[in-house]
Amino acid sequence: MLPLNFSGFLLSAAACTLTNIFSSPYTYWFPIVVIAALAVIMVLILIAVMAPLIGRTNLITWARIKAYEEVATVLLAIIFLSFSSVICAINPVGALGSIGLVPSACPGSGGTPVNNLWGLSVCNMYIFNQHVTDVLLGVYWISFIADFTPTLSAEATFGGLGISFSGVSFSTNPNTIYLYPFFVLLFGEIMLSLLQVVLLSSSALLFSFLIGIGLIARAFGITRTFGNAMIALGIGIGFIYPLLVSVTYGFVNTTFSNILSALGTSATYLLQDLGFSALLTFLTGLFSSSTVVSFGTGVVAQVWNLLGLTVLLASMVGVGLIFIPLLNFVILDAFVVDFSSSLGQGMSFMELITGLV
Amino acid sequence: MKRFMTFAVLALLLLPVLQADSPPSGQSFLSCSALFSNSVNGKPLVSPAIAAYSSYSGLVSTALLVVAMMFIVVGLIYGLGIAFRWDMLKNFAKTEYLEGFVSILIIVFVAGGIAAFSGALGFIGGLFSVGTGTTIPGSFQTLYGSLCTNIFNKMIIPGVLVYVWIFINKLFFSIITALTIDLAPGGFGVTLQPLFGFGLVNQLLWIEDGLATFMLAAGGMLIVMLFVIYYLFPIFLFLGIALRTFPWTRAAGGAFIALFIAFYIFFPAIMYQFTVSYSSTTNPSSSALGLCSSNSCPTGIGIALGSLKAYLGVLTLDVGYTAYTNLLYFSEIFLYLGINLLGLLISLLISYELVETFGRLLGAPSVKGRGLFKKIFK
Repeated sequence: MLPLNFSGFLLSAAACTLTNIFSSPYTYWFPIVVIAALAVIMVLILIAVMAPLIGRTNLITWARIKAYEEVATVLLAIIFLSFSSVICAINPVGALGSIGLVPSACPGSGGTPVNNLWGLSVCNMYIFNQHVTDVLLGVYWISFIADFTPTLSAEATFGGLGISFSGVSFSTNPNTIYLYPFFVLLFGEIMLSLLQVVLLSSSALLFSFLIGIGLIARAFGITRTFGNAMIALGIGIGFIYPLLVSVTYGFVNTTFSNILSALGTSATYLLQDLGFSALLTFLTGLFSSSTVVSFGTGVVAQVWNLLGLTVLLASMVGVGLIFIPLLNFVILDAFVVDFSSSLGQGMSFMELITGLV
Repeated sequence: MKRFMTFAVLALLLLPVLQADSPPSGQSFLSCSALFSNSVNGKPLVSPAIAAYSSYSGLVSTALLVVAMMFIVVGLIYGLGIAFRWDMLKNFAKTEYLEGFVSILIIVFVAGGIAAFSGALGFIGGLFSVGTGTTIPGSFQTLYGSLCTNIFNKMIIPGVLVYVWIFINKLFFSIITALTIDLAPGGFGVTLQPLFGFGLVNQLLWIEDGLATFMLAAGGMLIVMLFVIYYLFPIFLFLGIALRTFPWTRAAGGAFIALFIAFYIFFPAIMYQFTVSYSSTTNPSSSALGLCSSNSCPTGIGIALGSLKAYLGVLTLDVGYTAYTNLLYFSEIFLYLGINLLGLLISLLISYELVETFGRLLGAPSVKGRGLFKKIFK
């Protein structure tokens, strides 16, 4: 198991500071937005003043509408400033931890501290990837052991007369054939999972960068729709996606830990059921059917539990690799499309990603 | 051989269980009811806070508070619209008032909770009933537990039994096809493999092996999916309500709620009907083999007797009879697989359509289930 120090992945560590030019829209870019909006308003006022002189009084109404849109841009910048400040100030570990969605390793024990949404999402993804490597190692060893195939042969011949059969293999080749596509799928999904770590580690940076670009672009009429699209993408990748990952992968990681704990309990009970005192009770009560049944049922129950919980454990990894990313991207795509459309320029996040791929 | 010995040991261990006694105090079996009541050996599988609906009461109050704050902000925006004679602001404010009322309705519906959902379950069960006369369970925990039990009994158990007996069959036919009669005294003569033709049956068994493995994998995947939906999707509901109150995150909130309604309520309710529909179906091929009655097929003894009949063909060197009997027998098992897969396909299709429908109703008109598959796999 790799040490829980994912600081190398946490590019967003400085995201919530007010002095980083690349990650802080507040100190550097907000004044640019206000200056740009004021400059445009000044131009519009000039147009409104000149309009009667050139005999185009309809330009006054047009200029007023455009001026209101510039005011809306400044209002949006103030709203996003407030929104970003709230997001940076709130530590979701408490809120999500109260409903059991934060793995015990995430609040910084021995590793990188988690004090915002982005750190929590990266921590969850990192822990999940560690679980994947652990399960992958287990699957590898199982398939390796299962591939030892004995061969049976027998011969009853005398002087060239008789019967024989040879080379009857108790082959597990079908399992190897079935495991091959499983491994291909598994490795493909692991690449997707690692891609998500990269995306999450830069999500806070993208949140600040894209929203900043979007607000500035929105101040100018020509680039307004482009700015709207950037704002939608910034909120989608920078806020919605880390929130989704924190909730869904938090659930997967905490359930994984609970199942591991239940496995340990089953193993303990199995050892107790096979322990000296249990065997002694069994032997002394050998002629009592109830004793035999109780002994056998306890052992059977724990063996069954160990098998079932192991399968469940591996299945949770499969859920996190296949089902959860699909769910997250469906919701993220819906959000980006609808939010960008409401701002004036529809764009699809999934078409962008699949187009790149 | 190793797998056979493993299964044999497990079968011997299972003998005491046939007497239906319980494990020692504090211990319990991992069963479907244990999965959905979140307790195995007294330990939870999922964080108790997630499993307890009462934990979300704080989220409901927060959502109501957020809605109230949004009403205040929207009122201010409306005032600004009047002051500046800006119709866009006024129209925006009116829309947000309506959306706020919809959010309150959703919260009230959720607060109505179990009674409303149980009614929904009964309604859905009546719509999709396939005439079996069964009633859908009235609570979600019972529904999910019963569905899991049905899938386990009708996909996992038959799959395991088929797997064991296919292995025995393969071993038998591998031995007899390799049987060689040497008529070569002093090194001159012929060798014969008179039963080599039964290798055809082995090819059939390879295919059935694959189907049995698929049956096990599909059943297991379905149970895990139900486990995740049961515990994770209620979080989506409450998160969706909270996100829906803000105009910027309304689409995401609507998508969350649509996913909850479609997959938490409708998907298991429809799937349940298919898992019980064939319990009273008579199988035409059962009369040919004389193994199954209408409600008790297959059993472990039944499978053994069925495959023994196939061996009769060996005595008469009739490969065709052996292959035919083998196919006919195992087709009964895979009937269960076919019905369950059909039920899964129909349930998923309906659920995806409902996600899009409810998404449009709840402010996420672009949420797509099947469309995303096309985008990913094109």
